[in-house]
Amino acid sequence: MTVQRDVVVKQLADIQIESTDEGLIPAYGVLVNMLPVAFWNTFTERILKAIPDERRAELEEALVNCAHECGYHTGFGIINSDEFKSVVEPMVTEGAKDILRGAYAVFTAWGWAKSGIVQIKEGERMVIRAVDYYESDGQPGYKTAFMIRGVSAAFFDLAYSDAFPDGIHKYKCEQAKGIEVGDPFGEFIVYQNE
Amino acid sequence: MLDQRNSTEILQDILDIPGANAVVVVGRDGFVIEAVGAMLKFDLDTVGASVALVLNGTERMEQELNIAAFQTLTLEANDAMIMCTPVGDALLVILAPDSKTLGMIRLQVKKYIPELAPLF
Repeated sequence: MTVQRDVVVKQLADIQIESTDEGLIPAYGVLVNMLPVAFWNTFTERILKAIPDERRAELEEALVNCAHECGYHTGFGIINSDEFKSVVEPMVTEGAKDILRGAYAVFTAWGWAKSGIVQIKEGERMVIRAVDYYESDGQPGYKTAFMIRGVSAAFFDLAYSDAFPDGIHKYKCEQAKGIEVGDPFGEFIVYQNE
Repeated sequence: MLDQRNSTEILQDILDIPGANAVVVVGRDGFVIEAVGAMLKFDLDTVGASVALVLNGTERMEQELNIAAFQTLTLEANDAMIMCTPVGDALLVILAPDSKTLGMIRLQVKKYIPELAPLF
């Protein structure tokens, strides 16, 4: 028995959630919100255009780090939420590997990226593929999946680094392929930070 | 030393085996990692979910009967043949319209497994 992603996606999609007066949605142990994809992609596009070329790498790392820190705390909230414990945990038989499979099923159910695990070498390396992700909208001519990079590194931190909250940034993630640059899918490689 | 080929190139070679309509790599959780060929009447996500379901049942059977992990799992129907073989931590799934060429597919696929397995 291992985590079956279609079961997770279907069950999570059925959960009814409502926003508060402040527009925040308390669910999965965290506060989430719902904003159009164009909002996030336009933000990324404009900030990248505004930065001089010599500082572009620095900005890209900052965008990835935003997602990394967010993913680390949000990911911890998700895997400790009542929803995750009731839907995913009964199927967990392979420890951290199954928690990660469950986390990417949640990632898919939320509509962030239809993504999953290609390969895990426990504590060393993970390869992720995404066949549909909001950051690939448009054809900017460069790889733009900063969110998936940050969150994937964060998930691996949660799975294999020191216990929360002391394990962040043990791992990093690079984007090897991207739909936004003409590849058939996005591919992401998580590995240990030097 | 030859460069290691990527999974797409290897799957394309498997697709060239006579009788194979589609070749899919599915994660143990049912995630469709990669697919080549014509899916015809099959929805890819449903193929992934179904394979994961069968895999879970098979693993439970292996435990109950105390037998080693399966090497090949074949489903033969009047209008379809589906063959599953473990590759690393995933499953290679071959779809064919019938089982007429099952023997050839099984024979040919074996040689690609060692090359494909380290990628998953």
